[in-house]
Amino acid sequence: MPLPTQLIQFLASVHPYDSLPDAALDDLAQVAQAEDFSKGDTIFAVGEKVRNLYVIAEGEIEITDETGVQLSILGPRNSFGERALLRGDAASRTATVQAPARMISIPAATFFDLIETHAPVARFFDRRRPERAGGNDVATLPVERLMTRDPVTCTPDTPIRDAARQMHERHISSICVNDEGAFRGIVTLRDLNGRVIVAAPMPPDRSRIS
Amino acid sequence: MTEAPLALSPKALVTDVLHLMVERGIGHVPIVEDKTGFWVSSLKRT
Repeated sequence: MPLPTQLIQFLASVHPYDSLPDAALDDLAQVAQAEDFSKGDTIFAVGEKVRNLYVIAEGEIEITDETGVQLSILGPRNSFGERALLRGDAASRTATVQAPARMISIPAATFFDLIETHAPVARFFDRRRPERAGGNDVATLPVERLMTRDPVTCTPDTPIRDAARQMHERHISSICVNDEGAFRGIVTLRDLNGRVIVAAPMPPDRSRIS
Repeated sequence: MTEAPLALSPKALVTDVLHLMVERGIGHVPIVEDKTGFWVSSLKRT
């Protein structure tokens, strides 16, 4: 069933579809589908094959990584699914409906046709960045390539003043808190400022960071 | 301290970290091994 007129008009107002000639938009409206989802529905999960590009017309979609951490909340005019389609790989994110949603699903084949035949669409979905002198784009590196291997840690009963002294002496702005070797939390300069200095429930030298 | 803060795995992309920082208005993201829950490092927004 072709898209309802209201959704065609909506799609025509969303970049990059706003750049499509009328005939191309008409063709797209013939193959795209309007789909309604309820709160809690999973559009796709990590590891699943993604078959469509989704454009959100109404509602909210939560994007989470493989550990369940929320990466973003997408709303009307946002699209998702293109990363997996472009990689030709399974989804590396999970998309879950946060608020009842109406979406326009564009089949993968149509998505690739649009990229091939319409430069504005190709540019919009081209996630490559200009090559730098070194040839590496830091944004696409895994964080393990950048992170500190021997970080400063403390325990929950570390006195606040000791934690603050470590941050000061080592010129760092956060210390992660380990409890018997397991990650428990993080204390930052913002915590010390907001919760200790400003709120001042008790003198810093007598307060514990937990 | 902030208990059980948002954290990412070492396999996450830097772009994911930046996205999380901007979305949540936070300046530090702990990097934690997926299965063990052991803290590995943290990244700071500069």
